[in-house]
Amino acid sequence: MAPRITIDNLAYRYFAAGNPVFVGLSLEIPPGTCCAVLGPTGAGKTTLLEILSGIAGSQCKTSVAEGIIQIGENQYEPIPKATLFPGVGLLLQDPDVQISGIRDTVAAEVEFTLEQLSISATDRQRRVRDILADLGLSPLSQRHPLGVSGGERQRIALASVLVASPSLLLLDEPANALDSRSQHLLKGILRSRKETTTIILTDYSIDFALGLADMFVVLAAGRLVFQGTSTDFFKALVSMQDLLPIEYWKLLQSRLPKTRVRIPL
Amino acid sequence: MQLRVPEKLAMTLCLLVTSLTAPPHLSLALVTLMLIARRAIPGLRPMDNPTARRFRTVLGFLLGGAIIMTFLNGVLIREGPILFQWAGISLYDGGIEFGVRTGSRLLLMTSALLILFGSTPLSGITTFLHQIGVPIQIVMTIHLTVHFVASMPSRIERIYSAQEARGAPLRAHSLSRMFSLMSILSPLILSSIVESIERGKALELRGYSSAPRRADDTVPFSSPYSILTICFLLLSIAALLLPWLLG
Amino acid sequence: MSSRIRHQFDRELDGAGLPFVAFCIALNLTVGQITAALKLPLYLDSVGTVLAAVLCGPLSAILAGALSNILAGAFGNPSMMFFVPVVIVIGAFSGYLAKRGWFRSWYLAAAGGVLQGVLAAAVSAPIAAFLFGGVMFAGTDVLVLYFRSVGNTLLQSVFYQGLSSDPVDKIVTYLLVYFICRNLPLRLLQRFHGGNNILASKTAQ
Repeated sequence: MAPRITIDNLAYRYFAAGNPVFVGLSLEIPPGTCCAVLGPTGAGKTTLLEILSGIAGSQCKTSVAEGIIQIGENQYEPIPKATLFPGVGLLLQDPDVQISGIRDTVAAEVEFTLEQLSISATDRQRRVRDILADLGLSPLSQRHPLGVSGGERQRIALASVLVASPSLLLLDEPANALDSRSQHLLKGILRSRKETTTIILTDYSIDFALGLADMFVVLAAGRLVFQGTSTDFFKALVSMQDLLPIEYWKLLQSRLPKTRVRIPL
Repeated sequence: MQLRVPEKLAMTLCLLVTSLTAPPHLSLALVTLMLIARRAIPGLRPMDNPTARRFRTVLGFLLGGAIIMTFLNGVLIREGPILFQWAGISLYDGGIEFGVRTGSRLLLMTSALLILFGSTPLSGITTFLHQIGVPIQIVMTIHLTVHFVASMPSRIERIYSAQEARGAPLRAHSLSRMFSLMSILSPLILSSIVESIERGKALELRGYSSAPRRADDTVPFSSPYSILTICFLLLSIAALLLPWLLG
Repeated sequence: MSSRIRHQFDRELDGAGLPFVAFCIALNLTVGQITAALKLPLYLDSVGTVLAAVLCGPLSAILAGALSNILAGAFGNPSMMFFVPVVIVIGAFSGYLAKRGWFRSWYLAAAGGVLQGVLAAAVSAPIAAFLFGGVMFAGTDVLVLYFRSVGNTLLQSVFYQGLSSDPVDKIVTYLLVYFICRNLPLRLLQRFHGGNNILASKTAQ
């Protein structure tokens, strides 16, 4: 079942003496929502996903955090201290890093995720076959995972995450370096999962998230600048001008749908 | 005859132990036998043409080197009677005998290892290791290493070109070139540290943990090939006793 | 494996440790490409092992060294496999020195390299002498033959040959690792189990 995500007054920094990454961040994402997290470089988008997946708490031992995070029925104060696999899946920005490199075929690579779950070999192979078919990767199942195109590697990385059937799916700039056909394919895959999965994706320029996300969140310097639907987002864009770096604000403004009036500076 | 990984490993161990204790003529006879077996037994044939070429190249190089070293040993190790004398150069029996013994040992060891790794894919060996309880981290490290080794030469070349373009003294005198080593190793290691952190994240996000895992299946003892494994292991023990058996 | 050793092993290879040890092994196997391109008369084939010792720990260094030689033997020169005990000693000794803080100053690192070189020569001499008769099919075989021709035993000859090259190689290796690790950012160092070996000196500065 898709979980509700609640972040209450999150403050986070990598070192006690370091600069804060988040300051008093509060956010609520309803179950089954696809939420796009936007923001300029350094806003904390990736860090937010890493905190929600548990990897930040697991690997960054010197970090200092405050606040409360609730994922479904589980509450963490302040942040999860271990990865929440298999309930939470995170697709990293670089598929070449996500693909482990320790298996020779696409099918074996995807199956590696399930080997960590102590599932029988028969069930593993069935789930791998199903997920490869869902993502249109069946013809590539015996190919080397790194010997395929960029878009196909992204889908292999996504398959390796989805095969564990996470109820919360986190995607870090999933449309990076994908051509328009692959982006369209990826949008279709994510739309088909919306009923059973809460999806949070980061996007630098809103292009991918438009037409997919039900909810938009804008971060800047670790603070929440906007939270709402896409319609509210475009209405609120003017008021965000002073809260975002000017180049980023202009980028968002340039992405306004053509039917709307462009707001002059 | 199809040989599985445990049989091949036991056979290789037997040959390695024999090479340490066998007299030179027995070692050379075993090398000849291995060369015939390599062609005759499907399980020992090279996996592909490059592997077969590598086998021929390495063995040929070793054979040539062994002949040269035997000659040099015969000249410089002045032990035992003189076997041959020409133009002031004397070949001593002790040196020749030492060279032949060492050369035959090296040839047998090398051909045993080359046949093992030339006929067995690495994934087969690592799967077997995992089945017998070798920690999963070691198996994964081997696979990741092979993955990194494939990409290292191009990464090094890119860094070398980049450093040369920014004026690093890569072709100056030896002290400058020594300092240039830092300008190549430092970015290589730094980028690899960052990549290692990301890969570590990716593995952990997919549920990999350092907790020990049980093997999914074990090599069945009732399989006939296991008898072959035991035979090779017993032969290894017999090989250790060879000096006493031969007197 | 005893539970204490297993626990230490798991901690050293946790997180970024495992991929980094794999990288260190790959570095050992390919560093010859760099020294050849720069035309330097050095091996540096244990730079990855020492790096693993400093950033991960002694058990990781032992693993890095052992697998380097095994894989080098499997895909290159099979005789490398027989020197696994030597690289295990190199890994364990580097890890011990790293824990004791010998990589926090350049002169201690250089001294560590000298000791490491002598130790490596001493451990490799019996293997090279008794298994290979001092013949490794390298240019240094001529040195062994020379030492034998002037009356030294085989073991002595191989040891003296090792002493002529190993300490220099290991000093350069240790100093390289010292200077590289010294310049690493804190946020990267703290991701590694052995990062504390360097962190303490950085925070003290």
